[in-house]
Amino acid sequence: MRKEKRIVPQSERYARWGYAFIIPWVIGFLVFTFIPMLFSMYLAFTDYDTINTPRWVGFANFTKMFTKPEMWHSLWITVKFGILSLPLGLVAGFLVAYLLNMKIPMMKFWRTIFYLPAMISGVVVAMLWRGLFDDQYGIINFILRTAGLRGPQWLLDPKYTLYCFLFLSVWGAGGGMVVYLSGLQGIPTALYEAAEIDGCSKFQQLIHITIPQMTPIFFFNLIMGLIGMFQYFAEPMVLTKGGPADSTMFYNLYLYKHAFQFRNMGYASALAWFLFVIVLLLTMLTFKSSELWVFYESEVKR
Amino acid sequence: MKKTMACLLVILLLFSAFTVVSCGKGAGSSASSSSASSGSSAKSAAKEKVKIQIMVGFGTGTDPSQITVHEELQNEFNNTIGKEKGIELEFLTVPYSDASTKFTTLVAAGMSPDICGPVGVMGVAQFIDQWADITPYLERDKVDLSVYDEQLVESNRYNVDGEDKLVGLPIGYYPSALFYNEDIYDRAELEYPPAEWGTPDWTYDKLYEQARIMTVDMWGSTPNDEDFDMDNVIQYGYDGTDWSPWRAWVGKFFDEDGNSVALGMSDDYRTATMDSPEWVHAFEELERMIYVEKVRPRSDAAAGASLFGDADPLGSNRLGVWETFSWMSYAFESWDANFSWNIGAIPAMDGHVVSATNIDTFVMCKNGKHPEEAWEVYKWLFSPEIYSRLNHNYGGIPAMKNLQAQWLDEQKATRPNINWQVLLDAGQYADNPNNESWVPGYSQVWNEMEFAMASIISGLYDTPQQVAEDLNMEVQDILDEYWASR
Repeated sequence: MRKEKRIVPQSERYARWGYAFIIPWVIGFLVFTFIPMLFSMYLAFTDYDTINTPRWVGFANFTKMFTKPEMWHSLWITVKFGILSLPLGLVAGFLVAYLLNMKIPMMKFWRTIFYLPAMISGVVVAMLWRGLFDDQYGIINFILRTAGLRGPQWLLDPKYTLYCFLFLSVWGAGGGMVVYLSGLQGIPTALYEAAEIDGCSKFQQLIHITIPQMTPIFFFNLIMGLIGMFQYFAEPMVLTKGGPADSTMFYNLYLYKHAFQFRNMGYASALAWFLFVIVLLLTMLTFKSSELWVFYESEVKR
Repeated sequence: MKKTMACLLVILLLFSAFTVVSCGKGAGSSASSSSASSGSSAKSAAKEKVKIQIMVGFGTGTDPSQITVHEELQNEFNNTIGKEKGIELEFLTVPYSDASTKFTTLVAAGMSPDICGPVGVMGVAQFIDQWADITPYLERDKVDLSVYDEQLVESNRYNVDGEDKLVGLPIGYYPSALFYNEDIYDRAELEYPPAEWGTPDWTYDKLYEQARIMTVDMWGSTPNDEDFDMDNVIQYGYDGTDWSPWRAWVGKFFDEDGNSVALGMSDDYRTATMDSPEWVHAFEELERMIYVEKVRPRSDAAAGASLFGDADPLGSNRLGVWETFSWMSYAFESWDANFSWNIGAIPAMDGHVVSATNIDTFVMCKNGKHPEEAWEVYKWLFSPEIYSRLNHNYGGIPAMKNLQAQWLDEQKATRPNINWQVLLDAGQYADNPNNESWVPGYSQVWNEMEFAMASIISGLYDTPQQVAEDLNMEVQDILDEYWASR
């Protein structure tokens, strides 16, 4: 007797293929992200030197963390950098995108040029800027000297080191530009036409149409920037290694030092989870605040 | 649909289980392999060779030319003693930057190498609890230690948590001395530093005096001129502590009883003494060099870009004297090509002459699976002929006394104008305790000292006294934490 073949609905067949395709990712996620994350949570409650068996210490790592001035210092450095670099990066990215959305000659060329820094790895960027910031031979001090000014020791004087990183982050603002550009091009032209008929100036159009319409993009870039800010690592690692005198000891560098230099993997795991909580809370706060300032096309605000 | 999901779930669970089992395998492998070896491997013992791995990467030994020598030695051993004793030797070379991570990973996975080296005092200190005490082997095989400089042997003896152990024998040492640019000295019309250690009146004050003449700003003024611009210096007179650890500097200071204060803590390692008058004085001297005498650069190693560019300070041809270690030998060729240079004795600080010294050794790993076979290899490494070849390979001064004259002759033959005897004589002035020697919470203490030093170099401090007090407080916390965890 011939066995009757079950007819598999097309949607189920598609689903099977879908699952087959995501299996490698799921395995990768489990093995390289999820399981290590769980393990690091366990390690946060242990004293672990990466060689000997982890020793359970309860909340000792967290107590130590909250009482260490160095941890608060590194957090403050990161936040201070974020407060300065995040708005600057958002505004710079938007302005560049706004300019590149206009009809100007060689548009593709300019877009490529401005996006180029985002294509270069953080390490290469840091090496490049190290040369530019050199107090003796760097081009920045050369220009200042030419103008009759004395350039500071950018990477050696704690008063200036953080500003060097600010330069660096603004230079890479082209990364967000692409997202802004796509947002700008998605704004219905009818809105501008109507505004023009009503006699709005370009500036009024920017304030009353472009910016409100772009708030979802600002929101997206703000969230990404916020997360990126707390993950800031490669540039200070290459340029200053946290120095001079800990003036650029970003939170992630502090974490790295404890994990791989001092082999305090338990303490470093606690730091990592604290970082996770901070980022989570700030992201939630930003989401909450978005109700007040992010406008979606279909939405009607009171 | 449900079936598909179930299948996928099973696959994922199996994969996860497999991963976890694979990860956990290493830790237990030593036990399982040893228990297995008692039974089944008894038959095959005659056939199977024991593999002994020497991990290279904690210091020198990773250059291609050095790796070639290791490979030659490996082949020689495997074709002679190895064949006879059933041991297969393998040199495992890893880049210096990855050595610590690689080593901890291997140990954590239960795959510890058997021997590590060449490794300096710092490398030994960072993993102090991972090295075996070789004293029982030395006593059993009646190894004659008198062939080595005694102080160099003792530099590998530690008392860790009450346990006294000798972790290795010295393979070579690298004393510090003054490497100076004769061309700059000639232009400044100055007398070269003396080649005799302990020359009367050869003090740091005298060195600063010379350095003030050699330090020049971009308008040609020196610190002796009123209009000297310390922010635009194009040539410095002296540099030293940039590339050396802080304890290499503080090791020059002694207490009232004539004991070095380099350790910065009590002999039982429980109380930090880094706010002692001697430590404050050491910080004051650093401050004096930078801000009063203005003879040394403010840049620190971490900052990278500086007057010296990517070259070593002396190699930049913009530095008069560099107090540094003889492992700088890799740069000699480029120095030869650019200027005349020579070696002088380190001056006295408050009446004491000290040469901070780096010492290389080979250590046996505590968790190695075959300690007896590892010891056979270790003995072979320290047999006179192999020892000599290894020493040549690494470029250090042999710690084996009867090889030192030969080393001197070889150096003189290569560069006859250099005062090589200065380096050989430096051994008598080696720092004790060694500038890199172990203390509890080693890396963290080291980090705190570097921070204190950097505070002064970068000008971010109130007074040297305050720097010393803050440092002492931080280090005391580290010590308290260390002892609380014991």
